Amino acid sequence: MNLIQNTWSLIKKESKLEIKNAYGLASIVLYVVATIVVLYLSLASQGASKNIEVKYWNVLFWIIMLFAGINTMSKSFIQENSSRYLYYYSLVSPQAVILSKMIYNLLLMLLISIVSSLLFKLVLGSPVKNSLVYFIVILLGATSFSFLFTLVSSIASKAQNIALTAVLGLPLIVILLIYLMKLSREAFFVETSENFFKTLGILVLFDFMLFILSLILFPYLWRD
Amino acid sequence: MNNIFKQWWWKIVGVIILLVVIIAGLGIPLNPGITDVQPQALNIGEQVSLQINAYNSDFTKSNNQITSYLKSKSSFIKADSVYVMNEYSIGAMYTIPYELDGNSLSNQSMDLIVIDPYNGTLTQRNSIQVQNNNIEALDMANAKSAVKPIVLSSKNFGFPNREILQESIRNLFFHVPMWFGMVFMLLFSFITSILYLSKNNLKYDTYAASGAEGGLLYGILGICTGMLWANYTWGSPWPSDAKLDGAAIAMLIYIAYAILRKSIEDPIRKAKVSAVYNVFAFFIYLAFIFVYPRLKDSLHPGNGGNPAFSNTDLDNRMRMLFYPAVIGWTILGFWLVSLKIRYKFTLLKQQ
Repeated sequence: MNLIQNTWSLIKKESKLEIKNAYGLASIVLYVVATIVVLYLSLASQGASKNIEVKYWNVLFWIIMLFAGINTMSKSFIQENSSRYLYYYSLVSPQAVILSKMIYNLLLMLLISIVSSLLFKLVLGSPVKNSLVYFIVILLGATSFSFLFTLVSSIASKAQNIALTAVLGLPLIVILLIYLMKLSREAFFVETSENFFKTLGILVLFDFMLFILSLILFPYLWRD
Repeated sequence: MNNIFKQWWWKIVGVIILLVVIIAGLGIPLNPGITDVQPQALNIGEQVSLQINAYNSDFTKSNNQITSYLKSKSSFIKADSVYVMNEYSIGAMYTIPYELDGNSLSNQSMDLIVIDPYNGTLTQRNSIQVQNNNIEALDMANAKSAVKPIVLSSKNFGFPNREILQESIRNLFFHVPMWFGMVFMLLFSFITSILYLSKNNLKYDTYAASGAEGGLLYGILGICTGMLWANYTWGSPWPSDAKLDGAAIAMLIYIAYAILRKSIEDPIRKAKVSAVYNVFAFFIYLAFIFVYPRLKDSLHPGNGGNPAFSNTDLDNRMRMLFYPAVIGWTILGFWLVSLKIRYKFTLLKQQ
């Protein structure tokens, strides 16, 4: 019970901080918007911005999600100085800290996914035919990215080098990314195929594994 | 654990096993096999003489007891006569019928079989193409299949001569044990990382780092030997294949681990952070190699319908050397790891 209350207050603190210096959130959204505009202009210069093939649409979307995710979440542990963390350490359990970071990153990632989906629809058109499936995939994508990159970024922050987040995280995210692309293909058809629930189940299991591993491993990182 | 590393008996065992593996693996000759046949295209109803060339064979020692067959589906045509030309080539006279057991032979490809008591059974799949240029030859219109030949094995001890693989089959003793060795060393690194997190003893961190370095070395060697092998058998050093992708990901993960270690100065923080990453990465990597090959077909044996370690694939002569090769290379890997560990301890003592 205490854990949930602590997590909730940490999430509130996190979002208050974000709103207080609004440039943080704005810069994240601007990063995605700018990337998609660059992508659109590059495709347009090659005469390929309209009627882009569905498989390339899918790959481009998830690659942009990936880098937006890395860019957003690599900062999650360096915004506050270490003396502040010492203060949290005396107040709450490490599980509450990582849990709040993971949930907060999930919400941020969901926001990024929705913004970029709308922008993709605007500039490149959208092949999505089954919105419910698409939303499930985006939710799972945000979960996977936030669960993986939160721990990786805390590792990178301990090395005092946030550029390491990408190096450490990219080889680990590959399998999740492939499954996400496979699953999001289902959203381009009205009927889902028979493999849909199998792929969904594997991804949920993966996320569950990442969740448990983060909760177990983070306390070791935190104590300095 | 350090005591075991300092003992020498297991290193000697490893070296002896590896010497045997290298000498036997490279020295034992390949069984005879057919290299080519002239002519490769035959006409229906024709009586034809085939010249069959073989590798590693000695037909002069077979006392004219050679028989030769052509196989189409499950029917056989026996050669009318077989004569020895030299050690490496024989000639075989065949009469090709129009139909065999009621199946038309036109535009069929046939397998060639040569059996003799000295060289054993030599086969080549789809070596003869039957054409249909000779419609008038109806006197041999329909023939019955010859009796199914009895397979004889070679008098000499040798490795199986498989099509496409041929001499490169020896790479089995070098390429495959690299992956076994890599997995064992990475497992060692993973376990010692967990030990570090639970016991907070810096010794385990040294073990984990050295294990990961050994695993990385074996992974790179495995990729190199695999690329050589793939270039000869699959026609490209890096074909699209699930296991290659898995190997590449493993290399990326452990290179990232090495970079992470280099980027932290404080030894205790370095140990803690890299142990956490090692445990996290190993779980994801395990999940990757269990799940990913199910997404994608592989050219490797044991995937996508290809056999692996079955009786038809790896015969007992190779098995006798393959398991020692795995043990020998693993021991050599752990020897390297133990040297690395002792080197790092010495460095720590000097500081």
